[in-house]
Amino acid sequence: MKIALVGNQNCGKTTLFNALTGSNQHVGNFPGVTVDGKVGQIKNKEKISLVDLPGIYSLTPYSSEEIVTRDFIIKEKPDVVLNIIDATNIERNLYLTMQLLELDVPLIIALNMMDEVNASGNSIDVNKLSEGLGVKICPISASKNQGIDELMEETIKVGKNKIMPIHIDVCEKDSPVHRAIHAIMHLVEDHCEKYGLPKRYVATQLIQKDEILSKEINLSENEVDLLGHIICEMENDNGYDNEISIIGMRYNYIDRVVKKSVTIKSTQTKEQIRSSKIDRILTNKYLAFPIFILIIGLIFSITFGLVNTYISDLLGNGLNHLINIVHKEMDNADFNIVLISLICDGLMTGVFSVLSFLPTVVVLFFFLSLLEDTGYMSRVAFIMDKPLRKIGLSGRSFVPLLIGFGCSVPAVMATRTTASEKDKKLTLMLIPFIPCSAKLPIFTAVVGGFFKLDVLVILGLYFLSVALGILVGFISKLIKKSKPTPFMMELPNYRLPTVKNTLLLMWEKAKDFIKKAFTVIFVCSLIIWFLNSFDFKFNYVDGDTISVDSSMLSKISSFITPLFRPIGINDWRYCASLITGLTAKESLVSTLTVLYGSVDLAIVNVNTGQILAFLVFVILYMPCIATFAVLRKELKSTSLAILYMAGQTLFAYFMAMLFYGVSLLC
Amino acid sequence: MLKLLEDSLKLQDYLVLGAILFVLIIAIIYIVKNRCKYSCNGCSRQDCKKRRK
Repeated sequence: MKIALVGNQNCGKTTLFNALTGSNQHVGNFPGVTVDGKVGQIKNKEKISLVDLPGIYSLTPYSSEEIVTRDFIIKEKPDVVLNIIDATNIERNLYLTMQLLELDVPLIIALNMMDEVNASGNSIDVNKLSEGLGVKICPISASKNQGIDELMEETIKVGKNKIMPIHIDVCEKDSPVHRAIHAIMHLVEDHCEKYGLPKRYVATQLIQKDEILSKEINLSENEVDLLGHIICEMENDNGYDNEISIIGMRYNYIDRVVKKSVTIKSTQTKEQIRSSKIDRILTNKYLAFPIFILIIGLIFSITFGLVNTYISDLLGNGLNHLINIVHKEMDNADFNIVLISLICDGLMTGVFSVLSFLPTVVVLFFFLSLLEDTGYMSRVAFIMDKPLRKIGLSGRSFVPLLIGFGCSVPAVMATRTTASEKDKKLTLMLIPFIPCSAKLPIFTAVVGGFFKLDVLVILGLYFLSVALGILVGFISKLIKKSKPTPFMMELPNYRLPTVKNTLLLMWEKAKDFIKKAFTVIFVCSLIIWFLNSFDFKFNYVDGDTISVDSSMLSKISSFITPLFRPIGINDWRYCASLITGLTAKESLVSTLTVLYGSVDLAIVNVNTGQILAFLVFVILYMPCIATFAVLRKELKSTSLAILYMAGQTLFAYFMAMLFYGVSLLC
Repeated sequence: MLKLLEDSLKLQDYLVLGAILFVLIIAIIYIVKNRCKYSCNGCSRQDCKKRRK
């Protein structure tokens, strides 16, 4: 049996999923934590699976999450749909229920957060509500594990016996909306039978001008004309447009049902009152920005200042010491020199260079998890909505961009929470402009060795990169002439983060990072070592009898070096470092160190223009392979991902050429 | 020719080389097994196969 878990964002779906399956999925206090379906087996009932679907407010396909959920219910046909409702926000949550009722699928409702409703002195007559909606309702509190067993029993009963909701005509008899819905139901009857879709659902969606559905059921030209005529007539008779007419019809019915079943003593729960008080300061018109900048500044200075400088450096030094010990011991044990080079210069150096950044990544995610769990991240998205609107984005895009300062991989993944495909694509385009933490070692090593005012140059590079990103966003907005998607987001109540949830997230991130280091980075390091250690006749390049210029990497890099002459790069070793930088940006520094002896020696024979052009290219050119892989996954298109990467690199090339050209004129 | 092959490899070299090959094979299997994660929306492998069909 397959159960689909459907509900609004932040109504406790993942908490219920964890309670029912015994799994440890990350639960966030930020709308849209679940961005794709997660499947789990119900505890002690192996043949029953539960699918946790993304949180949605309606089945009208405004966002990708809504499309994912709708497609799952209609196409995958689960045995039962378990609709979870936040009882403290019952009217708004019931809107989705009204649409689920139209789908004509076995349905059961879990009325969650009943403990909060009772604590605020309100009460819900579950039987009357169930009667009004024509569907079985179970009151629960997922976080306190109350009512879960009863809910499971009832859900299985509904699924096994295919208990459908009782048909209730929610629109007022003889109203213009009623007439329009029934007229369209007759019009699309054959199409619905052919495609196995419920008539009433199709009719209401067509009135709301659902283009995806309209294409799916293949309406003829005459039918489309007739449909337009019916909608037009309904709008004229009703005095409202199509959307408002349908939304109004659903809310009118919800209002009638709620009035009969809900007794309200207090309009706000204790949690809502506390959150409103905190919001008076944190989202205050004048204080919001300074507080936000203070918090972010603190997180960045602790993560990149304290943790990166001390703990990551300490770990890096420790790992380097380990490499030296292994090298020495292998030398003493008379191992083959090529094998020693493979292990120490290739695999250990490559894998450890990435592992040394583990504390930085884990600590950054610890702070981001705190921001998310407390509920502050939603407020940040709300605060940043206005400035982002100027470049055609909405507040939702801010979180992925912020994460991009840490690492582009989770930033790209976080774009799933953006409101529309258009926003997602633009955000994905802007993420490479945000300098990730892996670029810090490059700035520190190259800028620190070349410029006296190194801090100012590093800050300038950061500023330049973000400013160019804003410029690209602005140009894209002008070209596409598109308006930002309306930004609607529920501000969850402030909550104290749980230790379990925070530790779980940190562990997940650390596990992913270590897995990546010992798989993708391991294989890449081996390939780079091989290309750098052998010539095309497979002779070992030891640097004495056979020069490093004969290595395959040198030959390949020399081949592409002329391409980089217009941006002032004449040495193949710089080109090689740019190539190895694609595996992980940190390896750019290690490559320069291996090939020159040290980064300081690498910058001896170059001038300011060349170094600036090189840095501009490095800061802007395509991100690492891991980012490309997730970008491809998020765009669901290899060619589009390649196009993004190529465009980014081309832009970096022209910007670097511009810098080099200006430096030649000066 | 590869110097690695030119020199007579000792048993200890073979053991280390074997260990590296083992990790490499595991890493490649992991990447290949998880390639599906990069091509669709994070679904399980069974779902992936079903979709491709």
